[in-house]
Amino acid sequence: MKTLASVFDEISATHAQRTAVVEDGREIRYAELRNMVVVRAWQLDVLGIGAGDRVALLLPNSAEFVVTYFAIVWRGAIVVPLNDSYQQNELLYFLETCDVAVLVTSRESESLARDVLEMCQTPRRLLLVEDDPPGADPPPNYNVPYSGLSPDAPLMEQFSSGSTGTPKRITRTHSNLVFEIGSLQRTFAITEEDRFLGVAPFSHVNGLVRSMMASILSGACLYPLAKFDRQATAAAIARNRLTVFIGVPFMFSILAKSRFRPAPDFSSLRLCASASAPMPDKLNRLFHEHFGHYVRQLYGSTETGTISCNRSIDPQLSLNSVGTPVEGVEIMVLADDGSEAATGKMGEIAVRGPGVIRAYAGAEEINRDAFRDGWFLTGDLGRVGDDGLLYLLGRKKFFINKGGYKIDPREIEELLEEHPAVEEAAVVGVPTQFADEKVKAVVVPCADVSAHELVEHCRGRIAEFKIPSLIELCDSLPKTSTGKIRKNMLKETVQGKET
Amino acid sequence: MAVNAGPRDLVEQKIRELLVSELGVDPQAAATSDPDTPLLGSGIGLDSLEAMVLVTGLEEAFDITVDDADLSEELVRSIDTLVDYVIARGGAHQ
Repeated sequence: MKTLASVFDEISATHAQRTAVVEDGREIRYAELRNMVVVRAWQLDVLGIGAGDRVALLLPNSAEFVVTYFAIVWRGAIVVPLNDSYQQNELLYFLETCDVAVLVTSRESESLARDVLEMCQTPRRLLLVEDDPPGADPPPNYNVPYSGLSPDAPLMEQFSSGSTGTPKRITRTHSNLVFEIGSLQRTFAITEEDRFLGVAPFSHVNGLVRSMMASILSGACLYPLAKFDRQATAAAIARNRLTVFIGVPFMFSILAKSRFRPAPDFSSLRLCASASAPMPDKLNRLFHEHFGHYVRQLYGSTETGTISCNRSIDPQLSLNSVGTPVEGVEIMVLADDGSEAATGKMGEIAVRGPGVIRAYAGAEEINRDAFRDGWFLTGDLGRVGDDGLLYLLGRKKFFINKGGYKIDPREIEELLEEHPAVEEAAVVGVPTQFADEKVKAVVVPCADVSAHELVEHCRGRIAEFKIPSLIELCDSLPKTSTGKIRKNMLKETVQGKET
Repeated sequence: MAVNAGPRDLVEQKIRELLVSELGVDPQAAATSDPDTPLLGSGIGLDSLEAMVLVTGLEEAFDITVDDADLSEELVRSIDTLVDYVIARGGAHQ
């Protein structure tokens, strides 16, 4: 098994004259991309970055993201991709937890980045993508990637929300990712002729691995979009005859419901796949009605990489299925006693394959529950139907899904409870018709406070998408006899039964 | 069903209905908020994704197309600014 850097090295040499990235009309060929990666790797080296150091990446989807990602990998360092809408608290947490040595961002986020770096307990460096390189040309030894790494060396660190209130740190190795990219290529027959839309955030596994990395490491062409705009997205697909669009249900749903005059031509697309949340059948059919494609539901997680996808010949018969495992991955539905559940019976989904992490860092207790006999227990509930396809039925663990982002309610509850007028807070997700949830906080105050004050308390401390859009003040929270908050009751209330 | 963007108060009423039906805003808050109340952030509490959902609802309700270039914080600043926009676009006059 190779390292990811050696795969990029080979691809960028083999496809040197092909277009790797198109951004705002500028075409970057693989040869140029490789040169940009080498220069950025040199910049990192000047800042003291070597193998095993951690470099955080705070950039929107862009060519600069691609360059920086592979430059970090080129140095043998470890990438910590961060959501570019994160605010002070979140950035500080991830920089400190991962012991990040350098934060790479753009001038647009410089002020926020400097403020956060000031707050760090140990010195950390800042690199702006606009900074000039240290000299005219990098030394010759930069033209090859760092070769001293084992394929089992860590490549990337990301975080997963869980039920414990603390994000779990997930380290994926070179071999995990090299396997996953190969699996995606074989499962979806990806070639250098493909043209990928890069609109799902690259800071998240869906956009990062299934769009950015799958495109670049296949010698294909990537069209990154910094944010999801309906018309810009539709125009990018139609004008550039894109072939692969991997997004989240919110994007497909909004496109399906939008008024386009004239209707954009999506006939070039050969694969539309959606992950991170269920895609509602009704909107999937509407998307097909308008654009001639069904959205294939894809299932994966940060811990496992891509698990399965619905590749049925006639997907309208099983629109809400996540299909069958991708190449090289095994799944099993576990009954309560740990044995394999019978066809049609619900159980927890377990996953096994070379892309799956072996453990969470520093979380022995969680590891004992999550890893069993070579299988990773996902916490997702599902069943295998008579058609042999996997259907997801929910989560054993509780979190909120906002526009494809997983939000740990405990993080928001803790922030609200830091307010001196808040005695207790519970945060729940209220389903929307767009297949995601809005964040609702139910707060027990101990002094005079308004919902407006609580929203302002959150603003700037957490990303905008996590800020509760509904806040309800009440005298007490409904609890079980053991003191656990009855969140389902809060959901029923906030869904309008009492309003 | 598209509605005619006629009198200002009818457009305003439809937008208030969309806040409830499309975005789950508390019906009382949607009905009683001042038309100049900020829709984003600390007012009604929408975020940028929800603003996009609201605009998609406007397109369907008033049979208009909203350019994403117009989809700015200024457009979704308040119910009033949305009413102005719908009326300026001619709504569903057919």
